[in-house]
Amino acid sequence: MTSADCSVFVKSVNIKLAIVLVYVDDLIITGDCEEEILLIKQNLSIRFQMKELGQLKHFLGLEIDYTHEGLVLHQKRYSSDLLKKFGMVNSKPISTPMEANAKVCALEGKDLEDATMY
Amino acid sequence: MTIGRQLDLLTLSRPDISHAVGVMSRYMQNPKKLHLEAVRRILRYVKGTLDYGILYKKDGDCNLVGFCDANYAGNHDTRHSTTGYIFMLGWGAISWCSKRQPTMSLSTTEAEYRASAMAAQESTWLIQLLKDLCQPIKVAVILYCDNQSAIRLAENPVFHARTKHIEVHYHFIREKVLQEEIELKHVKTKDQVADLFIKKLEWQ
Repeated sequence: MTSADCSVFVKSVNIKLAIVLVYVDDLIITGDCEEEILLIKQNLSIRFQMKELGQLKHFLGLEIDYTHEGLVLHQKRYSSDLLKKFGMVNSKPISTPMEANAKVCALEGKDLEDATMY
Repeated sequence: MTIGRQLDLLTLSRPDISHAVGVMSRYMQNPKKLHLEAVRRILRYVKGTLDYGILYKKDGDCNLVGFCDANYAGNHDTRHSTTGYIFMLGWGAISWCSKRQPTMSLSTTEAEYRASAMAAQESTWLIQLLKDLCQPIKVAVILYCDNQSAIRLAENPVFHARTKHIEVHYHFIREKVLQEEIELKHVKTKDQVADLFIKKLEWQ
């Protein structure tokens, strides 16, 4: 267990590394020490029932793409789901997330009929 | 889950909306029509930028660099200042924050100084994390700040009449500078990356 994050486990063999990240029942196993990674997988599957999902593609809603330049972290699917959920699929896209000169205040404007959605 | 909370989760890979989402989430207790409109605008922006993500490049140097900035009295309701910081490892952003400061700042310098102290806390954790992953940082982490007086204040531990009220824990940055764990450098406002977290985005 590392001191910076209690869900990250690191094992270093010589100069090589094997890293395990745990979130509830999801695991990411990574590192540059192939043997150690294999060993960890074997040892874990003796104790727990495990399912190998292959190369990391998504984790907790984050999606990972592998390109020739490197890794891309994005939430495309999550964003589209969000747009669907709030009926914004056919809305007009806009270039900035906030109006440039807008002053937002707490007490201005009409009350919402249904504030639970916000 | 409410729309505000769901948008907040989207900031995990989208630093560009963190400020907008942060501002709008302040009105979750008593939202008005105006606020819902603003939230819908964020969603429209998301719609136009669905492809956005963060690229972590394979090669290139892997230095940890931070940018911090503050928006003095940026909140129109309470006049609290906003802290914004971002840390980049090589080319990719790994940690960022846009947060209203819990205490009132009396000057721009003070707001910036608080922002740098918050960034220093984060950098301490990042340094530890990298050390745990067997990638220790050998030189001081460079933290860019666009306010000269905040830099002076952190570098020079003398007593100033105008800063004597700043709480002790904000002098955390001083200690880190003295220990040579962090080096504060000046950056021109136009090159300041962290202003993304304290100001509204403008299309250029």
